[in-house]
Amino acid sequence: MSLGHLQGKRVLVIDDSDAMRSQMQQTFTGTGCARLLTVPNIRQALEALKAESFDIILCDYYLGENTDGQQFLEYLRTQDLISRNTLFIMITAEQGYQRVVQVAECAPDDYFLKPFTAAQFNARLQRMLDKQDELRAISAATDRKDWQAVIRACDEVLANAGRHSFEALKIKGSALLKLGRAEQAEALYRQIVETRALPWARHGLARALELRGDVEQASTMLQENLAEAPEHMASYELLSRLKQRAGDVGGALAVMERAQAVAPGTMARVRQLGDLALQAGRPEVAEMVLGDALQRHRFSPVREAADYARVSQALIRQNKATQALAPLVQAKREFRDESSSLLLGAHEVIALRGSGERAKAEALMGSLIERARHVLPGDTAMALAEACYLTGHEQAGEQILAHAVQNAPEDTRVHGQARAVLRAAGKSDQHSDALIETNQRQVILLNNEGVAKAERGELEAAISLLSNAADRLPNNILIVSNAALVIAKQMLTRGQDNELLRACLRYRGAVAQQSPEHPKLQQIDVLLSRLRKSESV
Amino acid sequence: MSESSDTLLTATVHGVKNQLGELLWRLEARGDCQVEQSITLRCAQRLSSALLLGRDASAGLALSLDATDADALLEDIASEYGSLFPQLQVDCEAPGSAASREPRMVFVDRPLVTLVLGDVVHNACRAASSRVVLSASAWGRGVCFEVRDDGAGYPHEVLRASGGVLQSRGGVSSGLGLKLAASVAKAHRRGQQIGEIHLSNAPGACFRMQLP
Repeated sequence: MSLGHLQGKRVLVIDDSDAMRSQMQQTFTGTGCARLLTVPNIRQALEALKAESFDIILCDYYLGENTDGQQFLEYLRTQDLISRNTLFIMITAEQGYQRVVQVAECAPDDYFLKPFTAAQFNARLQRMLDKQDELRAISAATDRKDWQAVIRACDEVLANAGRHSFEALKIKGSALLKLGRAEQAEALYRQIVETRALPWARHGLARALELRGDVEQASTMLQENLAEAPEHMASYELLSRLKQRAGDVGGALAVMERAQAVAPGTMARVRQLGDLALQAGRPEVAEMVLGDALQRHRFSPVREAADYARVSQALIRQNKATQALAPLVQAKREFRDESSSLLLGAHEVIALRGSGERAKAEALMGSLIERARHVLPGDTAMALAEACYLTGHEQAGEQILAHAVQNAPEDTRVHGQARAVLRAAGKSDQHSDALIETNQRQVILLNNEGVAKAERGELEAAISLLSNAADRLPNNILIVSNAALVIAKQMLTRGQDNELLRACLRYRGAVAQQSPEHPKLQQIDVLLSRLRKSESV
Repeated sequence: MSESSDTLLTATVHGVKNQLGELLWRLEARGDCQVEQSITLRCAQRLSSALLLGRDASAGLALSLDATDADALLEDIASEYGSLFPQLQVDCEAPGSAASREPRMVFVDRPLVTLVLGDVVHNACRAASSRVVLSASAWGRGVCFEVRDDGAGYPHEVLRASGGVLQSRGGVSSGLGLKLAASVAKAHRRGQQIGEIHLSNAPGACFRMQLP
């Protein structure tokens, strides 16, 4: 068999069957591929992927160990562990599972149905490598999350009317949505839907409608999509989010329960369902779906410490505080990083307090407060705050909530979580409102002070103030973008400084990551471009 | 079907397909076992067809429609079966010719349509004297896939059944593939239009699957 097109390619094969791995080994031997690695499980595959990159991944869907290829692919994509240019081919024994449609970003590049001859494999692989070549520039820009470059590269493929133009159209729609260009995305998806009402195109159209604020029409579009394509999981997820945002938590939960009845969810979907069940006051549902999923994926890396914390939370809400310790003990054995440890510790304090072990709870809380010095992820901060209030550390709890609000002053989800913590601690709604408003105001005053200093020409003082604030509040886009801006101004006045340039680019990157079309980015880029010109002169 | 029996079935199919795969690759490596390879592939196709028909009977076939390059799909199938039946000429009718009037991009469930057409082409290869021809042509706003061979043609009872009931094509097929083809075609809908299959003899067997 000729597999000459594999010259120089790096190939990873994941299959739990010794015989299949051996066959693949024989097939690829002598093809000129630069690297061929065959592994029996995703644990070894992950180790390999962290150490090196691959052009082609062939993954058996059925991996034993209570996990599957789809879960693995979703994990790789959401953690950015593989390039968009890596071909991910799912090998399946039966066609049934792939009827469940994941979001486009988490779909494999192709499916091979077992068994297949080497000749069949060769022909299909050649076609996929041709596609990889045609879409290479798009994939590279996607890896950089440079959505404007993605659109330019898609337009080139479309202008050449290449064989994969439709794929380019699909990616372009997604990039337009990432950039928040609702009207252009809507026009593109409408054009596709007029040709054929494909489920992914109607889903894209619903996202565009949502983006331009027409939530009602977006919801109608999704409901129609699900009536015709009940296996389109991404539509359930979006419809549920829209209902949740409109305050209809029960409706959002019902949508996710319908999705769960169609197909057992990936871990991300199970998390969404679990969170909704907790919010809707149905902890027994959260306990059941999360408990089942954790059992199914008990050897899989797709789990997070937060999943066990949610199960513990669900048990406490059902007055089963003693049982709530077990998932935390299990998780602590596996998740030993500081962030997971703080999250699990906070939930352990809550469970200990609930089961009447006050002394243990307070001793543990003391050590957690000592350790909680750095920036905390949102869920960890909220759990720690709740634990603080439960153990009488009100001041520490208030500080944690204040920091969370300052870090994301406009995020209504954070406000809702803070209110829930304060309500559980017996605080009034007025108290919650005051805490949120005070901290929103404080962060505006802080920003205004930095900007005023910069306008008065006190650039060093402005940099010091805004950089400290940006490091303390890395999600506060206003503070972080202004920190980048004043640093760029300072360099334009005083000349380039490597340390300042690194800081400026780091802050700029953080803004671009959160909001690729943020207006401050253009201002920063103009200053940096002027700096480059002046330095070259 | 209960979850545990479904899990058991999945594990069994996985094991059987792995073993068939191993057998297929060993036969291919020998280079002189095309007939045995063909038999092995038939076993796997029957297993897949039976599973899908079972699913169709219990919950209906859920389609995953997407844009598909009709020519590429047919070229892949022709290339696969051309190497399995080296004594035959397995061709795709040239795109753009009067007969094919190619609709390059069509909207179908590619994995299911590939499975169905692969099975039909396999049977055509077993029945053909020297040639099997694949083509795709426009059918309204949809597509018509066609597979013709120069064999003895379909028996009358197969023509009459047209995939509606299980009807074996003599020693060539069990009828399972045609039944699945009819189900897959029917699952493709556009407004009031529903996909269908047509069998005829002209004088060799001619299979048409029209998808809206």
